[in-house]
Amino acid sequence: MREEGRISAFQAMVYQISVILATLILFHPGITAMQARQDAWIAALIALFSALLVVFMAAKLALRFPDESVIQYAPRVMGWFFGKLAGLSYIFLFFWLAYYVQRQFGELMTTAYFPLTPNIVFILIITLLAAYMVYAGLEVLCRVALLWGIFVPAFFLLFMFIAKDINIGHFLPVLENGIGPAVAGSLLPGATMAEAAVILILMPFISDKRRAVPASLAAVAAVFVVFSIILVGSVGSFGADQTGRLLFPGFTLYRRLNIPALPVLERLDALYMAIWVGGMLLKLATLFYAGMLGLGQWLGLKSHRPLIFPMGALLVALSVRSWDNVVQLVNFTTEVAPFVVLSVTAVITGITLIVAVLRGMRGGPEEGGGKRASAADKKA
Amino acid sequence: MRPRLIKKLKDLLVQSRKPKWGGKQPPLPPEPPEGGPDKVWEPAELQGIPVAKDLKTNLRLLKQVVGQNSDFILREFTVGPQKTPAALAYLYPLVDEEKINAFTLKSLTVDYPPDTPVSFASIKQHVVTHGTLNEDVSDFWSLVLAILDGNAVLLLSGAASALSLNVSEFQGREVAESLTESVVRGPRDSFVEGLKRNIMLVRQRLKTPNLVLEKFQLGRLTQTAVVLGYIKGLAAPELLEEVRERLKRIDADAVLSSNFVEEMIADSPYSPFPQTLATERPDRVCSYLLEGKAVLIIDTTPFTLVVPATLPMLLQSPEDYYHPFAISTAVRWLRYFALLISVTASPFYVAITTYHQEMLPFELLLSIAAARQGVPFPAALEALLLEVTFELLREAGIRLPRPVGQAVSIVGALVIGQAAVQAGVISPLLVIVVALAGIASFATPSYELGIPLRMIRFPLILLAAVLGLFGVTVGIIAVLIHLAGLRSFGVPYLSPLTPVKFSELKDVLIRAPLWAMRTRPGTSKRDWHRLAPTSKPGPPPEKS
Repeated sequence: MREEGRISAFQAMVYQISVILATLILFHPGITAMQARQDAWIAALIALFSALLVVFMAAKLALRFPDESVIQYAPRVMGWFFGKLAGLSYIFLFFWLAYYVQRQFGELMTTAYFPLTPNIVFILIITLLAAYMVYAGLEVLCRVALLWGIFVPAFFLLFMFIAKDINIGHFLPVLENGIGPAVAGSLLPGATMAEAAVILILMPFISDKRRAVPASLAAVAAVFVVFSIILVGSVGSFGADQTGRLLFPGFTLYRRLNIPALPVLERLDALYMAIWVGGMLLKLATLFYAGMLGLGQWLGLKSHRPLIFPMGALLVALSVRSWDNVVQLVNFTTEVAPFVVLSVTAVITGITLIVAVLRGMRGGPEEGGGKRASAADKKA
Repeated sequence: MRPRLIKKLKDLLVQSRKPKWGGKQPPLPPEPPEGGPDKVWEPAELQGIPVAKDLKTNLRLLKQVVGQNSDFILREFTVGPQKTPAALAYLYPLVDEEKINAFTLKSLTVDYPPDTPVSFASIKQHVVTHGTLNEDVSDFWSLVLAILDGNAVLLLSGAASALSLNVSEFQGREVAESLTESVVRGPRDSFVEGLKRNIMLVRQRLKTPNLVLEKFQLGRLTQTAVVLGYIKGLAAPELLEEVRERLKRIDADAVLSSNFVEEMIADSPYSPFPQTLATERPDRVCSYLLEGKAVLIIDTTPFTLVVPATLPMLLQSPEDYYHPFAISTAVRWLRYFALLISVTASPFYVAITTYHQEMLPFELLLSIAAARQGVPFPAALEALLLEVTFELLREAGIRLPRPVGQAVSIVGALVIGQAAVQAGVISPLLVIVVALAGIASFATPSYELGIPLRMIRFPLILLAAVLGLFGVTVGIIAVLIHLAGLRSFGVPYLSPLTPVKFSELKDVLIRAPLWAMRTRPGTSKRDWHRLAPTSKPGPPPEKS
């Protein structure tokens, strides 16, 4: 199967950030604060290092087979049956995350803004937009992601205005109950950040492959910064107890915000929503795209495009049917989601990498592949 | 009766057949075909007929083809001591009769040098005194085309070709100030309808032999000259090849204006956004030529097309380069801001007053509520009404005869501005918002870009009415996806913003000082350095 277009390592980084960011700033700060309490910042650090480890592993594996995606080489590495099974688990992961994201999105919209509108309205709209993007292809997806990324730093600058509300006392005492709670709290953000393992699918389209490894690590570091700003901001200003009870701490934080110098706009949470909607859409589109691409390769199709709309409809149905209400969704996020994500991104990737190393398998000359790609890139 | 019917049907068949350009020529007929005055001549048929050695045959056919035109002149005379019969054919409105009289007819008849043989070679060498001599034409299609193009064609008995003499003179508008792209400081001249004058305006500014102008004839009936211009060594050969390819693909009966070409070479034919840049300023054309872009100068239209075009290009004004860089940067940002306002002002108004009243400070909310007191429509309908009225006024302002135009503005100002507000049909705040958005939309330097941006507002208002700010966001994202997917001759429409090219952002996010713009944009073939690295000006170093 051939997918038109090539992206740079920088664009791949933006893609990875888009995959992670939007949900990481939604439920996760609250859940981390609930589990790790005042040590939430330590949990964030642990999450960072574990995610870096997983993503480094994934990037190394991807670099071993620079011209193929994991779906394509897994059957060669581990045998047809187990390889296909591993491939299926990646595809499942991306689709599962996609409809999970759809539901999270629908829940936030109905909880916070449109309490009387059924959430399927929002799920449908965002899925149609995402399908449009997936249809447009990888290059367009990366361009939109980059464009939307322009708004993100501007929006986080506004958090400077809550720095004055942060009370250091809320972070004390450090490690009251040992390291246990912090490790427990790190699971969810760590698993989410490990979603940058999407590099396993993206690698064949990256033109400067050598730089893909540092770019992936940089993507994890970037989302960590944003996550810690919200986490530290909300724990610092609300306290761990209250943050743990909040459904969407980042959103509440934004609602508190008013800028003395700009008295024209108050309660900027609607603006937060406008930017966050874009992020969520990108997350859905990137996951959806990775899943579609993988599915096309897994089935050996010439093009995955005819499957986009049926698959989108399936995802909408799954997202509506899979959870009964928002409480169930949050519990699921706490107790199930991190293990599902990690079992694929860490365990299956790890096994594939170990088998590939033991069998000494490589996919094509790495350097040559990189050179050819850069030559093609220059030509384009 | 029956043979005539069959002949008529055959004629119809010939008419309906598409001309095959450069295709196989039909076998040469021994005699030029006879045709009545009603015969429709096809290019393919004329291409197949060579200019005969016999003058009479040629003239008979020529009369059949163009003879019924009242402006067609066929002047028969004899040349030289042997009294060789010759004829000069032209359309008198297209030629300069002075040139024909003084430089052609006179020298061919009265002043013919006595000991010169009568042949085209010697006529060209010794007799005709024009600066430009076209190529000899040897088939009737080129002959007729030469006449229609404003040349005089000299036919000579005994020669199997004809001499086309460039005596054309098209009366056109004088070069005047640009109407659609005016600047305060900078050259004022703008393109006119005549190709020759437009080329002159470009050549005046770029005195390099590497400026190449290739000519294409487009339009089966109009035969419009389209000139592809580029600078060798700067423009990418792949781009030029692609432009040539697309121009050759145009097989239409007419090319009446630049848009006839523009729509035929677009990458995404359904997109409302302009994918080529149309300008009537020669200075702008030259600056794009220097960036390695290709331009299409089209006869009979003052608008020249620049390809590839990107969105940032369409938001630049030539004025940006005629003022100090700090001011230009500020003005450029003002323009970007205007773009944002023109698209989002009224949707935001609808969304905020309908769904997100809590975003407004209390006092502002009160005054909005007071202003909307008694307005019988929901905000969305109110906004749509006013937007449609604004578009109506704009359209009427363009179409109405100039003396009536003033009436429109008075009626618009009085009826919309005052009466509607006083009658309580529309809230005054919305009038301000819509007027602001309208003015902002005209701050976009490209009129072609302004229109789709204004049209986007209508669906956005509807989305805002249904889903508030979320709807506006969704709408804007959909437009962004569309824009990110557009390409103009292979160049992404939003580049260099995305995919990001940091070295080119110097002319997008800011307008870097001229001495700092050292490199050309990546569309050009070679990254020629535009200036010496030591171009930064300053006082001379102090002597110690």
